[in-house]
Amino acid sequence: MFENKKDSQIVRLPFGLRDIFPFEIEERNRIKEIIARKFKLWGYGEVYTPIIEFTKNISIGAGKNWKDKLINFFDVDGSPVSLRTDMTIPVARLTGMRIKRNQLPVRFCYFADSFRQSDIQKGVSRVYNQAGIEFIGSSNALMSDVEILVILINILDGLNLRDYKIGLGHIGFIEGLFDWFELDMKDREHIRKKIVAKDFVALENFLSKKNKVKAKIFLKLIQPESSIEKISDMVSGIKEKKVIKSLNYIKEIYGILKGLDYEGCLVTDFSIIRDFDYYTGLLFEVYQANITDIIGSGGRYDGLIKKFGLDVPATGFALDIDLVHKAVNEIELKGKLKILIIGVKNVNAAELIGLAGKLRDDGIIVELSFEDIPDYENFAREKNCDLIVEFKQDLKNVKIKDLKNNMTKVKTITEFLKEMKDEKRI
Amino acid sequence: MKKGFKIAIPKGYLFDKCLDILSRAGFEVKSLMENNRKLSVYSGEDAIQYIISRPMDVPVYVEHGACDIGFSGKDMLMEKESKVYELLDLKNGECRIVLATLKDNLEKVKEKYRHFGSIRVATSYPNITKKYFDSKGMQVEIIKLYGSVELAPALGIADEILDITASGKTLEENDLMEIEEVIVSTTRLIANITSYRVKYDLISKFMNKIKNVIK
Repeated sequence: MFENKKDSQIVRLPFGLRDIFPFEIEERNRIKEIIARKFKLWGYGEVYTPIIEFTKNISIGAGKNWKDKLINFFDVDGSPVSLRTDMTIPVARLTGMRIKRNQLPVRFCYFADSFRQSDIQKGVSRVYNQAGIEFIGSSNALMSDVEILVILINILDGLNLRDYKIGLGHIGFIEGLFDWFELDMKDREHIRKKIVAKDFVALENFLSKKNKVKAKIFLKLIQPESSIEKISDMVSGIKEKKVIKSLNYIKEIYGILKGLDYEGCLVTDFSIIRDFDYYTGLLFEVYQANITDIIGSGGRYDGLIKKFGLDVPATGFALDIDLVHKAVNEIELKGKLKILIIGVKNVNAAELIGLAGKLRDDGIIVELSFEDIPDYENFAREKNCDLIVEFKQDLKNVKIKDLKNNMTKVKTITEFLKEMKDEKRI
Repeated sequence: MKKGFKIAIPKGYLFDKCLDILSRAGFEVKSLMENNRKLSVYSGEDAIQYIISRPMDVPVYVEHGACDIGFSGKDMLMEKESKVYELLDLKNGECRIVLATLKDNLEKVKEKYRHFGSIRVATSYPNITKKYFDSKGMQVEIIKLYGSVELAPALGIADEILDITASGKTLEENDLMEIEEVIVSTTRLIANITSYRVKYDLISKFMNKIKNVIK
C-alpha cells in the first residue's frame, strides 16, 4: 500500500505533527463553516491571538503539571515563551489587556491550533485544531451557561452528529462532597488525582477507610446518570451547601434545556474534572459513540481573567475539529461541480481562460490542464472532477466526458454553457 | 447503535479466572471454554462479543475503543498508563512485582552503585521501573526483556531485576532474593472512556453482576 522510499529521500517531521491535504481540508472547512455560521448568528465575534505567549501567562491555567504540557522556547531577550495550549487562556489574556468593563459582556469565538507536549513514545498528536467560544462578563451565570450549551447542541445537531452525549458536571458538587467527607487538603488533592486518572478502585479503597457508608454514596454520585431526579434522591441526606447549590444549578439548566427538547443528550456526571485548573463551576464534555476521545469540552472559569487584570466571570467551550471530523459520518460536502478542461495551449489560452471564467462565475470549479498527461481520466478522477471537457479546435463544440456515469457527449459551447448554468450538474 | 458490547479477555493465567467470575455472575461462557483457536467469540444469549487477546493488549484495545470493557492486571495498567476507567477490583489473579537480585549479591550491587553511580536493571516493565527508581532518586540503566527476566542477573547482563512473581518459586529456582515489593497487582475491570458514558446502562448492569460475585 505504501511505497518504500530510499533512505536518502526520507524527510521527517517532529513527532505528533502532520500535514493536511486539500481533500481533508475541504471537509474540515465544511465543518468549520457550519460551526462558524452558528457562532456568528449568536453574535460571537472571531478573534485570533499569537501562537506564542509568555510562559508565565500560559502556565497560569495549564494545571498542576504544566511543565509537561507546554512546548517552550526562549525569546531573543531570554524570556521563556510557549506555544499556547488552548485558546481560553489567550482569550482571557486578551480580555484582561484590552476590554473595558463598560464593554461587557463580550462574546468571542475562534478557530485555532493549540499545542500540547506529549511523550514521544505515545505518538499522540501535539497539535489540536479547535473551534470554540468564550462568553465573558455576563452577570447572569446560569443563562450564559445555558446559552453556550444551546449553541453546542445546535452545532452538534447541525453537523448531523448521532449518538452524542453531553456529560454535565460541577466543581462545586465534588467540593461539597469533600466538605461532607471532612477531608483535608492533602486528601482532596489525592482524590482529585484519582478521579482524573479514572481509578475508581483506588478511590473506593481510599474512601472506604475514611467512612464506608459515605464512600458508597460518594462513588454512586460520581457515576453517569441521565435522570436528575435520581441524583436528587441520592443527595437528599447530604446537607452540604455546595452540594445542594450546584445540584440546583444543574437542575435549572436541565429544566431550561428540557423546555427546548434537548434533554435527551444530557448525562449528569460529577466525575468530570478537567485537567486544566481554571474551571470554577459547571463543567461539561462531549462524547460520541464512535470516537474514543472527548470531542469537545468546556465550562465556567470565573477566576481566570482576574489573573490578567479584569475580575469578570466567563464560560465557554471548544470542539476538537479532528475528532468532530471523524465523528461526522455524513458530511454533506456541498457538491460543487468540478471540471477539468484539457488541451489548453498557448494559442487558445485567451479564449479558454475566458470561457472557464464564465463557468466559475456560476460557482463551478474549473481546473485548467496545460500539460500532456497520458491518462487524463485517471488524473481527473484522482482530483475528484465530475467532467472532463475538451474544446474542439474551432472553439464551437465541446467534448464532455461525464466521469460519474462514464458517458461522452459532444455539444456546442452555447449549449454547454447554458446547461451548466441551469443544472450545475449533468 | 448496536446493542450489546465487546469485552477483552486476557489469555494466559488470568483467562480461567475471568471465565470463572463470568460464569458465577451468570454469563454464558461455554463457547469461550471450547478449546479452539478462535480469538473472537459471540455470545448471543448475553449479546456480548468476547475478544481474546494478550494481556498486554487488553488496556490498548479498551483505550482505543476496540472493546468497551476488559479484564486487565493492574500491573499492565500501570505499565501502559492507559487512559481507561478502572471500575472494579476483581480481587483475583494476585501477583506481586518485586525488585530482586542474586542471593548474597545485595552488598555488591550497593557497592557498584556507590562506585559507578548507576546499576543495570532488567525488566519487562520499563515504565514502572523508571518511575520506581525516579521516586528513589536513583539513576539506573533499564534493559527491556520480553521474558525469562529471572535469568538476567545470572547471565551478567543486569544487577537487579524488576519482575512479576506469584509464589516466589521462580525467584527461588534462579537463586534470586527479593529486595523490595514494588506493587501488588490484581485483576481490574476497565472501561473505555466513551463507552462508559454512551453505554453506561449496559456497562453498569454488567458491573453490578460481577460485583455481586467478587469474594
